[in-house]
Amino acid sequence: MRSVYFALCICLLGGALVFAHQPLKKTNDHSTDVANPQAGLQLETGIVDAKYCRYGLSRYLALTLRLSFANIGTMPIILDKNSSAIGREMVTRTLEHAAAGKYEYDANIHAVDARSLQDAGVRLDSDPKPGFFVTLEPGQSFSTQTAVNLSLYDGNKDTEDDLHPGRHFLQIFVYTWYFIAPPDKYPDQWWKSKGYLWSQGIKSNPMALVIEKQPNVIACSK
Amino acid sequence: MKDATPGQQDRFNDAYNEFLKRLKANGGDNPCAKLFGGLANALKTLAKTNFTAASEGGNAQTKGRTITIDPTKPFMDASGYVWILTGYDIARTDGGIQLVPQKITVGNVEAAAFILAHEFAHRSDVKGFEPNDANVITLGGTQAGFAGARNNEMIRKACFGEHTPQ
Repeated sequence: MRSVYFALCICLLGGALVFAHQPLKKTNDHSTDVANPQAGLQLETGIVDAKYCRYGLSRYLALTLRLSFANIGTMPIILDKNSSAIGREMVTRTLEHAAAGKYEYDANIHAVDARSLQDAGVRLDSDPKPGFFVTLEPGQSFSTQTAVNLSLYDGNKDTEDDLHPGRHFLQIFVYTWYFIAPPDKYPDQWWKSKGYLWSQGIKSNPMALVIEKQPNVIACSK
Repeated sequence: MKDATPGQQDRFNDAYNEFLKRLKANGGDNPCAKLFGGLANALKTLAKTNFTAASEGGNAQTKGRTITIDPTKPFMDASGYVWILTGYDIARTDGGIQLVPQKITVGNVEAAAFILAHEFAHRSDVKGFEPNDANVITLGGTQAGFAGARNNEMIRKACFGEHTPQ
């Protein structure tokens, strides 16, 4: 753990939690919905665990991230409790590059078959019932965890596009809808009277991390 | 495929050859090759693609020229068949209507080839193929579908048309 420095605090609590939260400032344009300016959601990430791993000839940084979704708007947000599947991992060298979308590392993750979709949290045979969701009042937040593996440069040309030692900023895109059809297609639109259903996914605010020059790499089980 | 065990390499080779067979069918004059901009384009992009075995989340990952396949997921399944979600259907029940998944059932090597084709479509920026599989697609102001399933349906129609969703 000492081989990775974190700019953000390390959160050690486990599981999913909802707690009262001081209203946060909106820090990126992915936290609001154009059609519903009163609805605002912000995603912050923090590192719970980190280790440098090797798998075959490859090296990667295995992170366990805490995801904290905060309602920064003025109306209730309805969020799927499974909101932890990552669709995209984006890394930049600077905050300016993060704001401009100039990524040095840009990985898209896909679940193709039915079992992998279920592993990612998609409920193939269920309707979006209220029990699957949490309602966040303005100022409230919801926390859960997820795992991220970031490929590392190992000095060879074929890993040139992977992460090099130094300071970086990580952002992830997290899916927030886990059903086989879009929300509008379901006969019971119970959420419409409860608040704003956040189904479009969300990109996290940039989180700083430093990749060590000579990390202690261990064999990890995958 | 980098970091593949011999067994994983065998499955990859079988899947790759299955995908190539479909791309080259009828001398390259087929919907699968057309989806990828023609056989010549598809082969050119395939030749410039690196393949790696690793668990990065999901079935697979695309990053630049690299496609990473998760060898612990159905790419390596040996149960005989794999389900691929291609959309949803509306079923009438006593209580009203219910949305049910539409899927195809394919053999293990075909499933691996399907996963390869899906990832290759992301890698190739195929027109109409949604970059984010879990996005909700909106057409004309109406929510039309779940991107991953619609992407799979594009692959099915073009390359695995002999399988009918059920």
